[in-house]
Amino acid sequence: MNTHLSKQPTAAARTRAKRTVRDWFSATGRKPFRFQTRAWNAYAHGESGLIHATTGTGKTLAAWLGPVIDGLARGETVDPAKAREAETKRRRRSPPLRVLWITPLRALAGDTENSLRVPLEALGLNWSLESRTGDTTSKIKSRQSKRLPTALLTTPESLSLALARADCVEQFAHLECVIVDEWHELLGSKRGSQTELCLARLRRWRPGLKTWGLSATLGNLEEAAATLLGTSGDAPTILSGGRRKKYAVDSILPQNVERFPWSGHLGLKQLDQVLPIVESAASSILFTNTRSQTELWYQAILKARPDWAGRIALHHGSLGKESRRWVEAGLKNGELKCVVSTSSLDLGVDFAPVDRVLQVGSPKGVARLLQRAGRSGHAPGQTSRVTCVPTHAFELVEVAAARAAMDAGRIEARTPPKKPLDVLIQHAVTVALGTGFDRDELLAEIRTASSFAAVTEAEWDWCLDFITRGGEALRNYPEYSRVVLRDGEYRVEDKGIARRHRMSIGTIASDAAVEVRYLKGARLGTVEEHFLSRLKPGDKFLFAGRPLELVKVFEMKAWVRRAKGTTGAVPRWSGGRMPLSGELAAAVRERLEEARDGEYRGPEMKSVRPILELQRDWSHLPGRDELLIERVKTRDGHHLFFFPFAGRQVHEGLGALWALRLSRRVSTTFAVTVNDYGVELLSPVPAPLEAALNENLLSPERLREDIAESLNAVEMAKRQFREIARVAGLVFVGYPGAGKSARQMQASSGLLYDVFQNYDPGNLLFKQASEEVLDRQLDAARLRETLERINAAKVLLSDCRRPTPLAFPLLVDRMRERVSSETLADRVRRMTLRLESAAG
Amino acid sequence: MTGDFPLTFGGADLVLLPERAAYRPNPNAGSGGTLYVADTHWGKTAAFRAGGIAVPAGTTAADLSRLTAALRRVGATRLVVLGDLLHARQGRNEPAFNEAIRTWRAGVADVRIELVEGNHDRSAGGPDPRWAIDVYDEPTPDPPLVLRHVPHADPRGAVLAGHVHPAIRLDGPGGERLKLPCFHIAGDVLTLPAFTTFADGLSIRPTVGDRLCVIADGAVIEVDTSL
Repeated sequence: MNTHLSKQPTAAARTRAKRTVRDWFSATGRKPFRFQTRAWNAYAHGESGLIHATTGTGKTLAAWLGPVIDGLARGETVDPAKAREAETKRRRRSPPLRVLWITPLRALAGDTENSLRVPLEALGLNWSLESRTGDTTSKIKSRQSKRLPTALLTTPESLSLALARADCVEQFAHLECVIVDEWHELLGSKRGSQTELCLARLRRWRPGLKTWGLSATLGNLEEAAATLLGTSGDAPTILSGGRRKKYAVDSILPQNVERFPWSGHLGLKQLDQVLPIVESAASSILFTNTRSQTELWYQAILKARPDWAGRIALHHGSLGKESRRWVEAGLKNGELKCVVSTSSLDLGVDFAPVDRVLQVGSPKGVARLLQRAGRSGHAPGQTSRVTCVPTHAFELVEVAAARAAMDAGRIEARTPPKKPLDVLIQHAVTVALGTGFDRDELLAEIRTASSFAAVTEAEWDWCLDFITRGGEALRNYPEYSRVVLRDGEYRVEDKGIARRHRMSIGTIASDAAVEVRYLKGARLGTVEEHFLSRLKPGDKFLFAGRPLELVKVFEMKAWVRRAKGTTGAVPRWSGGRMPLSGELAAAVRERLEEARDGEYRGPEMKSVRPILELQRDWSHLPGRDELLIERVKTRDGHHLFFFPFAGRQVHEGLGALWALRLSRRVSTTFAVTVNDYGVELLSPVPAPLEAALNENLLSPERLREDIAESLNAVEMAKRQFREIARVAGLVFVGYPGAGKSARQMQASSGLLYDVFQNYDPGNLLFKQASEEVLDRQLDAARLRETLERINAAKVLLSDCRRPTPLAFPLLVDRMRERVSSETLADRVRRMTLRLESAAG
Repeated sequence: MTGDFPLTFGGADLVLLPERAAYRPNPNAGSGGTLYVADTHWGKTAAFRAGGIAVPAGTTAADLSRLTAALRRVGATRLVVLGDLLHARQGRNEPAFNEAIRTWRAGVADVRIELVEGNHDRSAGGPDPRWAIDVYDEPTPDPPLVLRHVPHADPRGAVLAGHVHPAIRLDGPGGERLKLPCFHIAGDVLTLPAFTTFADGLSIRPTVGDRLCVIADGAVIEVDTSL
């Protein structure tokens, strides 16, 4: 190995290297932006930080060229005499691992690799550059296990896996820089926590390590930067992509708003108005909020314009890798006229030819709308334009609100999870599997990760006890051992445990994925097991833009054949119900107050006016300091509708709380339905509303206790426990080819939750589930804030003869939670057998 | 107990019990009959622990004491397990597990125990001879009934079986939903719910003419399937 490699370059060499880079910019007719040169200089000074800008503004080069200039200044260029050498030989001669580039989606790795390679080749560096993700072939993996390239692109999961190797310290011995791409995507999730722990480990081995994050604009940039850098080290440098892009948001207005639906989410009624826009654009992306919507829109467009076959395509996360790649390539070279997509195209490199973006349904958040708008108009000086396609009347209000919030720069924050112990447990087992660890040393290390800075000695000891002895409940089972403590060092010794841990590294909770395959063998993609469980052989469904017939399900694969004729079910995936963000919800409340006062600004508000006036005439339009409650009786029972306009997430908590407080006064079952505007409580008997209002119904006091007590909280905790159990290694999500021994250790997380509740209630993972429900799922802080606002608000109680435009969407919603003070047997006697239908 | 559900099935008088079991009284005397259960999956948590998954102990012990309580409540002198007595080979030699079974067996030494072998029993290696459990292949006649593990009609008589862990979803007004373990009678086959609580139920799709009895809060309740 060359010894000069790690030597720091001189100032003169650095100046020369920078000039080379500038020359390359001018040669390609460009000039570096100010924030880019600032980022390169900051890197040269050994700083770490965050670069934020919208897509297509040059963030990638701002971060990447810092280390590249460093390499140039060290003279790490291709020797002209050896330029024709074989690739493998060149790779062997390239400098050791210097830069780690972390990307949230492995699908992005290929594109990013291509764009990182451009300057390396243009500037003649002798660096090797490779990706390492779940998609990497075993051939490349095996050469990487001998020696890593100079720059490695990877995902948080693959990085974590790398730390599970015994030789990981040597592998990273020359690492100088970690760049985390799309940090905003990771930040609010447990994958972000996992990344923080990995970075803490790398920083301990490489104290001067520079960390740079790339992020879209966020409401909490400082927190984002601090979380990335951890608690040790200097304050982060935050750089903003200088160029301000222009945005335009408009909507397809319904031709006749009186006949426009009050609820729904498909929006296909607007197809006739969408087609001419797609026609006129050179290339467009039509974003929807769920995968099922994507399938339906794709089919509908194809049916209306069969001549576009082959020029329109479909893109979502469940599709096979090959078909996704094909679509992305088609967008980049301008061959595709339109791609119907979910958030799977939110991220990634630019699709330059795209000049029009359509958004079906509410974007639900200001940041998301900005991100999607940014997918169009990449040419300098061009405006990014997004056209919203509302699917029901009130989405017009949301679009108007989103535009106002965007203009005012009110963008959502993403908060990192607070010391998730499931992630910590997974990480501890990973480290035990890699180098092994000492109790105090690893505790000190993980505390340098911001999200884990507050881990107590007791919590740490609990985690260690859990992985070595199974915790309190397994005190009498000395045979249990996942991690072994020997001579002060924690290690994994059992090969089977090591193998299963490697296979289950990763923190995104997902339903077991079942591969969809033609009988002849071609792979189409994956669907959640949950969806498949509702189909029986012979049933038809729509997937990957094709009508399919299920033939059989065998060994985690769904075998299908092409179906003739039309279809029944459209896959309904979880995760499609995004909550309205707090910022957007506040903006919606403002628009409604203006409407109450007769002020209708902008085309959307003018369009929706007749419906809002109907709402006002039948009931009320609430102002910001008013709480509207409507009471209606129908065949189904007695309905109470509350309208706090705080978003689905907060309403879930409010619904549970109010149902509990009301059910203390009367023995009944409340069916709780929520949407982004309000909460519906449905009961077979009238609820004692006035009495409860006079006492504590709306009070923020005892909020945590009451929510924790409600039946809903248990059900939600159970669901939350699913993710925790998977991350902490209590359940394996079925993987193809797993042997019988693995299958005999499968239990649903719901069962495990019950077992822990009965036999180990002190288990911290079990407690974590309830806390995550409160803090993350229900957003306890926002919940309290909302309750305080409502408690101070004036209550407008309205007895309505029929459901109002605001109440109607809640009335027809089928997703309901229960809060009951009846016995189970009484409930069963009231219920009837469920009629399973193919459409589910 | 008021929650029991008596019925005549295949010429035998049976009582479906909320303990997830069926009892057939001795036709000649009030007590001393047979208790039928299915899918006890003994040692399932031990198999998990053997694989490095920290599942708390307690489910097997709780299942065992529930079984003793059921035997004593009806005064059964014979216990028939309709397959899947054991869960897996892994964890079989865990001392705490074996100790729990031995203690339990000593406590019900007066009860004759028979097992109609199921798929899990075969791969787990069958019961320990010291447990004094007689093992039979399926199907095995128990006149007028036929005992099996996998539910399947038999020309020799009405069948009692297990294997599928039947459960059923119920709907109430306004989208109310429950999933409960159940007894499922389809023609001449009665499938018992899994006796262990540490197993998920399989949602079944009853066809016209089937009878379903769900277990809720210590009662067996028949559900109308005529819809």
